Amino acid sequence: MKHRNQTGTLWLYPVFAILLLLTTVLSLLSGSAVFTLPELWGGITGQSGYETVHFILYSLRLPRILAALIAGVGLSVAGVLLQNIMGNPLASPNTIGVNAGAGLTVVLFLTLVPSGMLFLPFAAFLGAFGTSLLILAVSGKTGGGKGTVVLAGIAVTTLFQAVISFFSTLDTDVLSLYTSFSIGSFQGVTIERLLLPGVLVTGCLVCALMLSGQIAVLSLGDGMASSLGVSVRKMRTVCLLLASLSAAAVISYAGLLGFVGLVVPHMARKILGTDIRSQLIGSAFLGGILVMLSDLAGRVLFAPSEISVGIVMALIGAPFFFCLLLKRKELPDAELS
Amino acid sequence: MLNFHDVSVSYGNRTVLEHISFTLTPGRITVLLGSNGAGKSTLLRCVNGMQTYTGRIFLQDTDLKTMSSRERAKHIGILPQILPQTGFSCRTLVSLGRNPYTGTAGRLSVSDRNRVQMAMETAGTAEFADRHADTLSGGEKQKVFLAMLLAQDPSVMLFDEPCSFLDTAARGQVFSILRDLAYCHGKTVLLVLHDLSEALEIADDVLILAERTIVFSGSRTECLETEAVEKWFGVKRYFCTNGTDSRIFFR
Repeated sequence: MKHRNQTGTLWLYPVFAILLLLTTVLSLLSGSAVFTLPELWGGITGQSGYETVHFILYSLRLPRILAALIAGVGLSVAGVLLQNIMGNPLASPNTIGVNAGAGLTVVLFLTLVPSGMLFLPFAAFLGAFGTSLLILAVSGKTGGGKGTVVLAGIAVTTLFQAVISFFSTLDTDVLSLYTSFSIGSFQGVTIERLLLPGVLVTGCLVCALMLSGQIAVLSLGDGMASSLGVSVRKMRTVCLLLASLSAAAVISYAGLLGFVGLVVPHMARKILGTDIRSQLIGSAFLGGILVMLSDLAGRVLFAPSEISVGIVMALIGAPFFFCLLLKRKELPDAELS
Repeated sequence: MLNFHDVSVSYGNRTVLEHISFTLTPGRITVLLGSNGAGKSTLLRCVNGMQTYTGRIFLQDTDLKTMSSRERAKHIGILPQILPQTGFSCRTLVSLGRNPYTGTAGRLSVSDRNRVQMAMETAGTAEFADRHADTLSGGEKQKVFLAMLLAQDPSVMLFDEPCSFLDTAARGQVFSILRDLAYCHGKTVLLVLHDLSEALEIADDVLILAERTIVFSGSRTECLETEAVEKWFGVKRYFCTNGTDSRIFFR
């Protein structure tokens, strides 16, 4: 099998950019109310007679499109980082406990401060980021190996899930709110709420690109990376923090979107090869497109009812992932590192 | 020059290596011998910072513990026995050998690229440069990782069983490369080998690791004269003569 090197796949980036643009236009046009292209133009430019279109575009659809884009980029980048530095094809933001951590703080917050819904995103962010810091600290005590990180993640996730179940059982309102948080949705998102997550996700992507050489060496394993001049523990910690920050930023407004961080890095590797820079850029594009399409499908398929993007993602992601696994016969482990 | 000074390694209460002291000399090939589990790979791990130890290891006059990973990698390179699985192409893999000299993004300069190409040609891997590393045979893969070490270009090169997957011809090629590195480029070369006959064939100096410490350290001639291999491995020495060519082997 010929390796797809970085220069050999450069032509795909304009294709991804065009696909992203088309998906954006399609998402702006479609929904409970379907617009024509002239209506879209009138609404975007704020012409008179198109006030309703203008309102729907700027207040409802554009924030959702941006939310989907940021979520796709943030979770995919986190997935690429985690799968490469852990050498584990099943690594995703959930591996480092961000979902369980966010879930726990959300449930605690809903139980203790039921009227403080405004601060729920901060609670989710703190829970997600704080939990990954806790896992890092625990694994750091025992040498900071990638196996220890995964085991610490499993232990913390199991513990937190038990606490979540306990509090959810006590209060059905909490259970209902937690369930919608755990499915993941972009409903009610505003541009203002997206500013900070957008900056954090972009910053993490830029940092990851700047560290791509070190990440590539780290994917060869700790011993090899160390003899090639990588400060293994330091670099793994930095990458875990970037992944955690990126995922936590998304979870703060979107809830627990499953599968993006797991599936999209595999798609990117399949299409673009194993170069880390290509994986990062490709995953950012593909993640954005996939989440936007899922959100669009959720809005359109059963309009005026709406299906949460998390459900659509799982419905698309799981079969797709299954197909990927079946097509991987000839190189069972080769593309996983 | 790499100097081990009173190095000891313990896992809890179990001591694996005890009071190890020896010096590796530039321009010479040193072979480290020891039975399975003697601690040879552990000793190499001490050098690349993956193993905690007491005592000191000096590169020239600098304690390795005071050097950054990057600085250490510019001077010391290790080819491990177990090679990692990787999704990279051979060229990408070899280019990772330049990591100590590039920025964090891993961008290669023109001279880096030239060195990568040269390393691939020297190791005989240029023909499968664009192939996926995990589609190669064990021997081919071993040569690609050797090329990576050549691209790294450190002054001290440590090899843990570099020929385990290679056929006779390829072993000859690798030994020829190692001799070239030591004798023409003045590199310090340490080889961990299991095949005693092969080890005595290539060695200038011999180290024998047994009973948690270095029990023999000396030149190849001293090793043969004192029958150190026979003593520590419980083998007998035989001579195989083919015309004017006479070879030693142990059984």
